[in-house]
Amino acid sequence: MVDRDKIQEIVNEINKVIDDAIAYAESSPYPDPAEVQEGVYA
Amino acid sequence: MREVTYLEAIREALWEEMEKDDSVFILGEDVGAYGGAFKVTDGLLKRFGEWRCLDTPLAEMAIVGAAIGASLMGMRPVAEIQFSDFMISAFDQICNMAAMYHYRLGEPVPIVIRAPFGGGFRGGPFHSQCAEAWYCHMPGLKVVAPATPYDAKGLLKASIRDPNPVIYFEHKHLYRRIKAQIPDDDFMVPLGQAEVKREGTDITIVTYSAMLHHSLAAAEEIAKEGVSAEVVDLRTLSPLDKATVLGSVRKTGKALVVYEAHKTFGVGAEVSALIAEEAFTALDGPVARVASLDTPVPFSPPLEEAYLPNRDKILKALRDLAAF
Repeated sequence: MVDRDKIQEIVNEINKVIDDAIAYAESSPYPDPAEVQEGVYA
Repeated sequence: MREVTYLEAIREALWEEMEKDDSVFILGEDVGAYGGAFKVTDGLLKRFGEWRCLDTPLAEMAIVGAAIGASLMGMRPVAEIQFSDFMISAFDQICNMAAMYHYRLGEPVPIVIRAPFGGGFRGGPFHSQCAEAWYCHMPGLKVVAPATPYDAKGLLKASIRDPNPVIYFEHKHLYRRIKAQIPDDDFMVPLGQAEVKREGTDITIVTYSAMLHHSLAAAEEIAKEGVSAEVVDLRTLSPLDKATVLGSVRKTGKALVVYEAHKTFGVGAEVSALIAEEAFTALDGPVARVASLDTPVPFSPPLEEAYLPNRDKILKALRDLAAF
């Protein structure tokens, strides 16, 4: 059975993934507008 | 070479791609034990088993959602929607998920959604619609609509191998009516390439799917009156093969767009706008359209006949254009 500490551990892991992603996004430059049509198709 | 029906060509494409690639599987309502509502998937369950030929509940959103999820895990699902009319129930999964995944996340979604469409068999308003324009309007989707057994097989194989979500519109009225010789060996028809099915010099007919056959019949008839009509079969609706359409119109100077969907806001409107924008100076007359009426598809036989385009309606439009 999962206990309260395990749940908190999972929550912390998820929060770290999200925090890292936000930090990465905020530290990255905005894309070049010329890229707007890229990636529509694989 | 050997003769197959349009339906058999579709089944062969599924069969061969499933033999070739273990990641290809089919799912949909009655595709397994019953062999599909039109028997397109008949025999696949026996050959490939229930894990690669999945009967699903009557839930189009779940069918497409499951296909998207499987594709993200490396599979190549081919989902059958029993009638394209019911694909509306999966609109959110198709347009907000499948079409946008690569743009949002960089993840390809290699799924094919097979969708029997079209009228002419007294199916009424829920089993006869031509809703291809809705999906052509969505960046990220590819949309194909073959008219011949060769194109049906070649385009389905290309669709299955494509890394993008492809909506494959197969016309119910063609299933057993259209037969043709196709090669025995493995072949594909590239997505995004139209084909000139009949060469001509005076008027270009741009069409696709079942309307190709009515257009070819009208072109043969008006040839007796000294008018030479070229017939362009789009085959893929999105991405549109602009070069072939424009090349033909620049040669003939006149264009007639023929399609089975409702006239207003259809694929024909896009093709007409393309010609007006990029070949205006080559035109010797207005771009004309022959399409269905802007009503639900009637169930009554005489009303459906009045609703649908046919050879005679195309012929009248050709005569009007020739005289312009």
